[in-house]
Amino acid sequence: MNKLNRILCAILLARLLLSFAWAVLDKAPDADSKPAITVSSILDGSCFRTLEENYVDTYPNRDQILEKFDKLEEFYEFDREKIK
Amino acid sequence: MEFSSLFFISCILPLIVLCYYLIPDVGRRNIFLIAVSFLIFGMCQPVYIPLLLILSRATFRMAQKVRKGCRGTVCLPVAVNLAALLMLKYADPILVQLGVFADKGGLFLGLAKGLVEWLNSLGMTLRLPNTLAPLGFSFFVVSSVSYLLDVYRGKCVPEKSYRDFLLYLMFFPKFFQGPLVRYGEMRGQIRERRDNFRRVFDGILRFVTGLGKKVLLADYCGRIIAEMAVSKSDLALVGSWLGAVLFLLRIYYDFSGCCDMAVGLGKILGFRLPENFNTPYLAMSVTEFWERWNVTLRAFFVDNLYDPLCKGREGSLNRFLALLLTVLLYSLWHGATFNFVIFGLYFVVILLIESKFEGFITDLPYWLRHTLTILCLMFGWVIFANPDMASFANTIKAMIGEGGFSILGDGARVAGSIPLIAACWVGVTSVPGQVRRFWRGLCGIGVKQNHTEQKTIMELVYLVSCFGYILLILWLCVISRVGSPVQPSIFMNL
Repeated sequence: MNKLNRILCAILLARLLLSFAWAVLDKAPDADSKPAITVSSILDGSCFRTLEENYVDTYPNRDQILEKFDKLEEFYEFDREKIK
Repeated sequence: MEFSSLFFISCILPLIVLCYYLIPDVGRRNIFLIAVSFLIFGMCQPVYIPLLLILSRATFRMAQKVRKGCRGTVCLPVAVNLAALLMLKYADPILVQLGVFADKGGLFLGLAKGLVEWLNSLGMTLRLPNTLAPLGFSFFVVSSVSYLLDVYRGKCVPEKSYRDFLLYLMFFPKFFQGPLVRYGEMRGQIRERRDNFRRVFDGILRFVTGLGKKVLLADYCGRIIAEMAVSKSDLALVGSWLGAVLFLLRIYYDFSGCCDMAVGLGKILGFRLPENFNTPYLAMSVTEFWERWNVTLRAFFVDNLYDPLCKGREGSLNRFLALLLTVLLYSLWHGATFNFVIFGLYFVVILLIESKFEGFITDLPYWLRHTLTILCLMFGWVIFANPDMASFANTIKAMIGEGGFSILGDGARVAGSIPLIAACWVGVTSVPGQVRRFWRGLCGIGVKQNHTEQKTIMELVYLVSCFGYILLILWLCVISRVGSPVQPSIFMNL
């Protein structure tokens, strides 16, 4: 079973790394600006925040994921407009 | 840094795990973990790295001179650590409340702003800080003080290796939000760890569970609360109660989710971190609640403050003063605003009432005791959530109906939040634990029996089901994170 555990861990790790590699290599349509890395931005921590935001903004298949996100929102909350 | 951010989950974490398991021996793995911890901290606040290095080095050196039972040797290092915490976290808010340097945001923040402006005049473009205390600084200081006091009490010997001590202080899974780990609990694990991929898999399972709590429950509660805060001017009865219930749930899922992620990360990297929560909302009294909530920090305050204050001093007045001081300091640990003084006093009163009328309360029906406990906690969290007295008064007025009984806007919100509240409420009960135990039992996990073909198949079924659960929660969390930004954890700025 330890071997199977090892295989499952490796699959998960590979899956996560692949999604990261995909995000980096696959340039999304709105990914026209890269965060500027300067000494000041590194020192005040804003560089990493921008990098993180940029990563989310350029995530592969973002539009399809956002459609799924809307469905997920419906699961959480009833349509408030209809209730009103 | 938020462990629930998409960048951490899909980039930093897999890279850390991959590199960690490529390194062959424990010594070099420890160096790698120290480097990673500083890197993660440095991504948020690199300017504070020298401060953490200086303070940790000073604590390490001073701890060498601490002698068991000799109070004089431990006072200085504890005072140095507490002074640093006081200066960076508490001095400015206190000065501002007293009206001293109020226009500059306090003395030390004013000095920091002056320094930043001077650096900017030299051509840099640094941002002015909002607060002086580094992220996780309270945990850093409490860990140092805990180590010093453990050395003083003879619970552990002074560490000879600064590298090991630095790893204990900076270990990134527990650095920002705990759980608080005693040095004795980590020492052996720092020196010797064995790769166990079953534990790694359990760690991933635990991390993903915490991630789900944070992203899929706490953050959604937070979003509804934020929506309500925007329309706070017309806060009515139903809305204010809804907000209180949501905050009660959010604070639990936020904090326990982060602790689950920390424990899970620890397991992935071969460490066993202590549990911090024990289904606190199932408590039958507020006293019991505090025994189940943030267990490690409570143990620190009880062992190092309450018990020594009570030791050798009989009498109810002494016990009351010890309780008052302990609870006040415990609540002020969360922040330097005035509401935390009220928060502490409120719970001192509740604890005293529970202690005085213990027999009467025990005779109450189960449902009434539980309801009363939840109501007391709800009011406590309302104090916690409102940093200024004006907003606290508005919320309380709305909760007792002074803001009107209109449910037009709030009614839609209540109806809209029912699935979320129901899901959250099931999660705080023992149901998830029972389901997990039932499933483990069904699959024969943890049951001693001979190795049979059937057992192997059931273990396989268990692993595959866990794998499916991990993928499902990860998928939902990625969708949520792409659609909505990271909400900082409530306890992140401690």
